[in-house]
Amino acid sequence: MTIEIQDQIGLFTEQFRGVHAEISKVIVGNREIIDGTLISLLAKGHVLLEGIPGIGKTKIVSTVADVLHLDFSRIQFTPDLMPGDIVGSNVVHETETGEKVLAFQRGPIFTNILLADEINRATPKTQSALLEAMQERSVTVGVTTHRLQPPFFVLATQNPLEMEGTYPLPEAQLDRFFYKLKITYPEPDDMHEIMDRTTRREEPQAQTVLNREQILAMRDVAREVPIARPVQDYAIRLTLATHPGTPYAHAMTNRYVRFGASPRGTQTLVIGGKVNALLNGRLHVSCEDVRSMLLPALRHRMLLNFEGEAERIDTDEILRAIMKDTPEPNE
Amino acid sequence: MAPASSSPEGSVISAVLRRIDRQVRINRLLEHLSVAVCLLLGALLAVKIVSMLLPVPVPTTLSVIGLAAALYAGFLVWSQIGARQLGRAAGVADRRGDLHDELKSAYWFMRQDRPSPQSEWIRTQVARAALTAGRLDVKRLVPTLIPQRFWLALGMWALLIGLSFVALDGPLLSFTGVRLDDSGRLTALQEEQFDEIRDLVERADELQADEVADEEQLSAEARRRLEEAMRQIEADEMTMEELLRELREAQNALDEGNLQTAALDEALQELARDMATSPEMADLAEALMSQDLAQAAELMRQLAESLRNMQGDDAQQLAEQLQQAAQGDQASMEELMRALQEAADAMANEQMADAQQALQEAAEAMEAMSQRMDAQQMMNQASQQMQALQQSMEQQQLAATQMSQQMMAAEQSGGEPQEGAMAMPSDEVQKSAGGGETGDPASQEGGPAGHATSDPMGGEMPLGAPTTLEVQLEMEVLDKDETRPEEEPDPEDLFQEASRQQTSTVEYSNVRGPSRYAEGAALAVEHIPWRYRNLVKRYFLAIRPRESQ
Repeated sequence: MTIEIQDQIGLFTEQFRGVHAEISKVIVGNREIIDGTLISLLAKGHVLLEGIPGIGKTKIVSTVADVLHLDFSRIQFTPDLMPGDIVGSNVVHETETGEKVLAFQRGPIFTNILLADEINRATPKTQSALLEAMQERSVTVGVTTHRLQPPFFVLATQNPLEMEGTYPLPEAQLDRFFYKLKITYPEPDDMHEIMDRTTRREEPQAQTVLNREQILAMRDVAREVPIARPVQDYAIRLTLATHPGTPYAHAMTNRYVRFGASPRGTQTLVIGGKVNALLNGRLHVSCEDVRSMLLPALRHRMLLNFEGEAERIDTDEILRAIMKDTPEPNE
Repeated sequence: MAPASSSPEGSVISAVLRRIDRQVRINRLLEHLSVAVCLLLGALLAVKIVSMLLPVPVPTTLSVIGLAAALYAGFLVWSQIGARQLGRAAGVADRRGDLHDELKSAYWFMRQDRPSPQSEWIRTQVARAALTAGRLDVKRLVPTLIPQRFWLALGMWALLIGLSFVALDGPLLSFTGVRLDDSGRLTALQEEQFDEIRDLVERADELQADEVADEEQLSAEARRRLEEAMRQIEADEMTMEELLRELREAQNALDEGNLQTAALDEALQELARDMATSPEMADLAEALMSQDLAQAAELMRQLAESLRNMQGDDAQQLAEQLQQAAQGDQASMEELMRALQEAADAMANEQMADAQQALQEAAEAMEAMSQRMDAQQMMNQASQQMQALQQSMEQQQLAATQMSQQMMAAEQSGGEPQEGAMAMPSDEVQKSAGGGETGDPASQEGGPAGHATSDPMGGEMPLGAPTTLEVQLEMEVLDKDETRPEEEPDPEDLFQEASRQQTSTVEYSNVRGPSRYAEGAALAVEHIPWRYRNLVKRYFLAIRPRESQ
């Protein structure tokens, strides 16, 4: 049995690295973004990618879809996009016998990987169409609930610069995202590599390396990793440190934060920590695994107060302070 | 499934954690020990240095340090006999061995009795952690560390030993014999004087012991007061003021005997004049006149011996002269007078044996009187010594008061010494110190002061102890209040004046104008959301008046 578990871990790591290597054929740099995206996929989560235009957000998502043998849909969110355009709607359908019946026409959400491009350009009504799908993995139209085929993985992008004509995601919507990943400008060396790869006649293509069953098996393995109570306590303390006005709150939290991370944030820390532990060949979650998940898991789950907004405080800054000042448990 | 702690892997992990825990405890013990040793040596060093500089009650300090050391030792023992903390040891191993919480997690899994859905994973994790623990070199992972503080302790110990070889006679900061505190401690010279006084009083007490009852002995009262004062000084329970008061009362007790001595002296003169008329008692009268009572007693015994050969008119004449001499009614010479009267009566009845016996008794009475006069002489010497000691202590106290006044004046003037900071001139102090305690007119008129009791045998009347500086100051304050009540300044005026003076010393450049303060307060309070800052800035730029207009 022990050998079997170690084989599972070995296979998990090997498959993950294979996917990563295949994506890296197309995507230069952005190792943390790729890791975060894959960890979210394996932890049954969704990812919100934030970055300025032209740095490869959509390319990363489409490449991830390429290396995974899964259905892929893309929705370009615009202000006139309606919920029915995402989830589908009942349309009049004529049967072979000439009878006209109402039949449900599936929308693009019925897929495995959904790219919600520029999600903040759609109205809140349309954005909320994703809520049930992201959390419950189902879509309700009228009185009928349609289950989505696992894995269902939403990759949303948004542009932080052009704020006019956009609809910032509400907190409830943000909380549905497992990670919020920030894509920054590439380094000069990476820029050279990007030029070399994309300005030639043939651009590199990623091969499909994982199918649906393999991904589901990897998800199951990731959930098996045990976590000791002291480490879990550490994750809880990190989360509680984001709650203003509580005994565990950090000083910066009390000053700049209006609402802290929800228990879903703690779940993200633990599950992400499990995947990270497996990727590092460990059979247990360490405090370091939890720490490595802190920024992408909680940065979008904290709501700043007026002073925090006025001072342009970044939630990453608060989380780094919490990470620094929260001691690891002794036992 | 059985708990992982009972498995061989669990045993391996537990054994390693126990060894790590032992090393951690040893290091912690050494750490605590180094702190304790440093604190103890530091305290001893501080006591040593302070005792070299200032007079402090060292035995009390040492007992406090000893108690603290005992308490700390108890804490160390308590910290070592607690239960093992293997979880803490696992944390130490994970941190130092860069094991990413492997042992910490394994130890927690081992302690869980309930089977988990992830039991196979947990068992695998514990097995892998056991392999990791088996590879650990505990001595290298948690080496025994000698704290650097021990070097500091060694240095302090060497310094302490070195200071023990420094020969010092008393505290360095004694300010020429003036003690700084008010604990009633005497200088070496004063202690020597005190011992001499006590010796004199004891000797006087011994001389009086055979003649006077204990409760009537003046020297016994003085001795009791002196011994009590010395005991309180040694126990640090008496201030210098109290000691001075005790000395004055003891001196008064000693001086009371001078009145009796003066009366006795006068009676002896009268007795001598009565005896001088007799040729047989001429030498005796001369000895009495010169107050040599021992010689007089010897001559009285010789007179008693000569009665054997005396007959007839000689005996009758001597009896009449003795009868005349025995007419005195001095109470202190009652024994002598009675013996002389018996001798005269016996000689008148020609009972020479009885007369001899009576004269022998008269000689013994003279010897007793001689001893009492010697005792009083010693008490007078002791009184003189007391007077000198009091003057020494008062000068010492005066110097300390002047020093404190000088320091207060320097503080009030911002650290700059003022002229006349020695507020009371020395001649004024001498005058006040010599004044009568109860308002003696002679002393208030500036008469001779301070030596009135120095020579009571010389016939001068005792003027009492000198007025202390505090009493003199209080009297001056009362005089001032009585003479100029309307000039009492209003406390509010004093406050306002002090406030004005203080304000004038503040530099102008440090004063913040009210308008600038208001601007700063407004900027500090009003936060403009960042998204509106550019808008606000553009608005104010737009409404800014043009320079050309």
